[in-house]
Amino acid sequence: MNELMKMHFENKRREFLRGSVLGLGGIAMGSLLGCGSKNADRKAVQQVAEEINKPLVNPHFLPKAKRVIYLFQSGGPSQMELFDYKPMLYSMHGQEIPASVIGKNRISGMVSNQYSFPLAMPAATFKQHGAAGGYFSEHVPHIAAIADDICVVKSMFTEQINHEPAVIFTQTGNQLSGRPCIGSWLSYGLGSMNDNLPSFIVMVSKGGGDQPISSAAWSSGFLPSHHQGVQFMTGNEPVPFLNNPQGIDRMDRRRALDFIKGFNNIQNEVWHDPEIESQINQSEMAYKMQMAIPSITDLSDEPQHILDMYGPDVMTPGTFAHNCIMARRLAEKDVRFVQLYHLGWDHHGSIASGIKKATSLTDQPSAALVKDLKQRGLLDDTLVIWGGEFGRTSFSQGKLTPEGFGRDHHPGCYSIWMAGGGIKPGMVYGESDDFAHNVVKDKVHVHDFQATMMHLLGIDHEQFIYKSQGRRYRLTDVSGDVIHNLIA
Amino acid sequence: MIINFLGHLHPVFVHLPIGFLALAYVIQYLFKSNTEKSRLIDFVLVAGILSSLLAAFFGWMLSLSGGYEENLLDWHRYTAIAVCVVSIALLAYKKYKKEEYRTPYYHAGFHLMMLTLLLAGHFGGEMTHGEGYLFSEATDTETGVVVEKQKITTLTAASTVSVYDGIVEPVLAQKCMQCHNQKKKKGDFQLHTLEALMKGGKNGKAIVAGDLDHSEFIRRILLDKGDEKHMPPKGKSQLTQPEIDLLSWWVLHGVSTSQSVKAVSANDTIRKFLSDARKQSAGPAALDSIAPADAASIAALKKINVAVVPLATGTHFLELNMVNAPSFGDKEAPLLQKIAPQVMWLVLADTKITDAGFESLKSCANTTRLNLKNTAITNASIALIGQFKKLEYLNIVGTNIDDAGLLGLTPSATLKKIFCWQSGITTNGVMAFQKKYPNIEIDFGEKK
Repeated sequence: MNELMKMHFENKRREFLRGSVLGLGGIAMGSLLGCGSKNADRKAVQQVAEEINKPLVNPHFLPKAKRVIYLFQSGGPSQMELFDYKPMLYSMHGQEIPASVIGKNRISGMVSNQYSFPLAMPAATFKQHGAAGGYFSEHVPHIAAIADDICVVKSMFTEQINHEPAVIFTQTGNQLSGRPCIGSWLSYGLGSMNDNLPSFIVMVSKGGGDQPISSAAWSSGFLPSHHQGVQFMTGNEPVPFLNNPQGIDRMDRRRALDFIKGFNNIQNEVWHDPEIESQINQSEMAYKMQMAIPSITDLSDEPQHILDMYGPDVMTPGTFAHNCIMARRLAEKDVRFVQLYHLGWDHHGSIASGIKKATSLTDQPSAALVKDLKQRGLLDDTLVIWGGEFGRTSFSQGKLTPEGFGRDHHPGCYSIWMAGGGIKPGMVYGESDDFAHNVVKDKVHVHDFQATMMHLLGIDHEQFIYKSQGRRYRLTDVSGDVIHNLIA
Repeated sequence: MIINFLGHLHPVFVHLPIGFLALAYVIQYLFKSNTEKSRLIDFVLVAGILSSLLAAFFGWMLSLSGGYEENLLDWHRYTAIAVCVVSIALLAYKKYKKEEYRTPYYHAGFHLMMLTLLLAGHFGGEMTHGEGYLFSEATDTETGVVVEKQKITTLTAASTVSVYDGIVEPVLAQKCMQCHNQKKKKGDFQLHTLEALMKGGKNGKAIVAGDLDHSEFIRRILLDKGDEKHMPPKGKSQLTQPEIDLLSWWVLHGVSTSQSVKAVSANDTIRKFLSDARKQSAGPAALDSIAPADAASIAALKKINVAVVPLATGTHFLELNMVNAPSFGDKEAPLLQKIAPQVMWLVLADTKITDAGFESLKSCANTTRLNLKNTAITNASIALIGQFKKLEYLNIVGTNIDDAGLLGLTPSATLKKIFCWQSGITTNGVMAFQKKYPNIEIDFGEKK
């Protein structure tokens, strides 16, 4: 209970300061030090907290999207090798990037001691696809084929230049971990549609690459902890211990859970700690998942032509392709937020082979997911997002050699795409300069992107607030504008 | 630059003399006389005089930045100077008379100071909030310009009123005239009349007809929101995208005053603007136009695990989702009858419902989204589907409905999308339907 008591004290820090200022420090101190900290008081504190922090339950206005599948491409996919065609880079290969282009932009510590910043020709050829005539690289033929269903945003920019803070910034709206991520906000705010599955599920594909991803990216922060992302494992058993142990049947399990719940309820009566309720919720969810999960993870009912859409890796658990088809099956069961992470986009060296490898694992499944959702009529109210935490530099990291080169992190400009859920299909939004270094038209800040996503779900991001330790928080912190031009 | 900065300190200091001098007045007439009171009044008067001098100085700097209506500005300026003069004279008189200061002159001076203070404050308020602010209605306080929002929303494509009068001016009135009007001309720029708008402000001409790149008016609107020169400035109500498009279109097409809405109604920008304006006035109203749903029915549905969710805050329209109730079938369908008008989104996917049970759902007159995916629904229900007059989305993926059924459908005028993958429908059926209803998007899926 020490931790809990500590929290209790910290929670009251502001009240204490306020009390001291008014000259009532002594009195405030009394209640702070626990003299009056009786059961009833704790209950009252909790009730006040619940009064302030009410989940939305219903969206603020009519939503266009009911669920989200976020295909997070961790590491920083290069915009120059995928969606942002820059002919200038071919003709200026080997020349220095003009100083006026870099301006005062920050460059990472990995290249800041370079004497020379030679521009590097994209390791890709480009063609126009779709009615909007957007350019797509040879590495993403499948995504290019669905150009009319997606909206490519070429004018994203972020504030962070290193992986961890940039990922956390994209997912929680703040560079330091500790705030709730998008999925937790939605799970908390809109609740679950399917009683038997968590409303926020995370899958990390294995075999991606070097940069690890921390679970802080799917943390619920200060929200009740049963809103954190439930991570599926990458092995044959995505959810461990689904089967009851030898000799235990489902009735036994039920009785055991009820018994434990009884104890938990007694503790809850005394402490009114929201975490006890989270524990009860989680146990119940686990019990329900024992029944619900096998039918989700068993792909034997998928016809061959559907499996073929997702590519050859689809039957291998832990691959991005496998996770994509799982995401579709979860969306069919109305899971609110499915978050996929694919690592392996951090191409500091030999980007030519790196981008080939990353796209060979992700291009086909990503496109298949959109097509598959579409033919089931699900894309209409499911928002699919494909993107990373930042882009890459158009100049070479290290020496530009004939054998190959790499690109460093670049927060000033990068590309993502979105589909469905009320996003305008078949569109290219925003423009970067000739070096894909700065955004020159229709800037989209990470907070703008988050605000727009919330808007599609029927949420006014400025009204969706949680008060914790005396401060009101929102996903978009104190900024962010809905980009109405992205919305159909 | 420095003048601008000093000018901006005026609002910071302007309330101090008001407080101090009023306090002196209160002390003078509420407190019992003694030496302490006299000293207190001296002190408060000195504070009031010093702060009023500062405020007046900063105010003078602010007036140099221009943009205020001269007449009103003069009134404010001279009443404020009067406050300084009278209060200084009052203190000087009091000091000069020493103990004998309580003469009729002294009281007259005190009252005069209070009066000038009230007047100066009032004129200052009128300059910031618009003339007539004090007695105006709550709605158009800020502007003093009557904004006729109604004007836009009631316009239709057939209106003969000119584009300028009908839609451009009302937009300007709503979003710009608060600071650029006949009384208040920030940046020396007014746009309450077309002449003033064309004349421009202190940065020269605001509009070059037909040339967006050289129209400062458009450039300012298009600047980044964070930009210091962006208009409308931070904190003021911003232009919407259709409004920006409209203004750009109007400038690009020669700033016409005579062209009627009707003449250009085929233009995409105008159409989009009008439909957006209509939507804004119609959207939320439509959502709250329904009575609460029958609570007993909702409870009964929830009991069998049907998710019954209000679509948004403040509306009684519902989404019904059977994801937790796969056994939902014909027997349970009548439970919906009492809440049928409230059901806007109806998800019956993967349930046991058949044509017989679907019959009882025909009273769902407001349903916009109907999902019958993977159910045993057949052609027999097609006529009924046609009766969903507000339907926008229809999902018959994996049903037994075939070409005959699809072609037998008389779709509602609102229907936008049909999803019919893995049903009995073939390419031929889709093509024939598409020919008949080219505006309906029909998704046939990848391959069978």
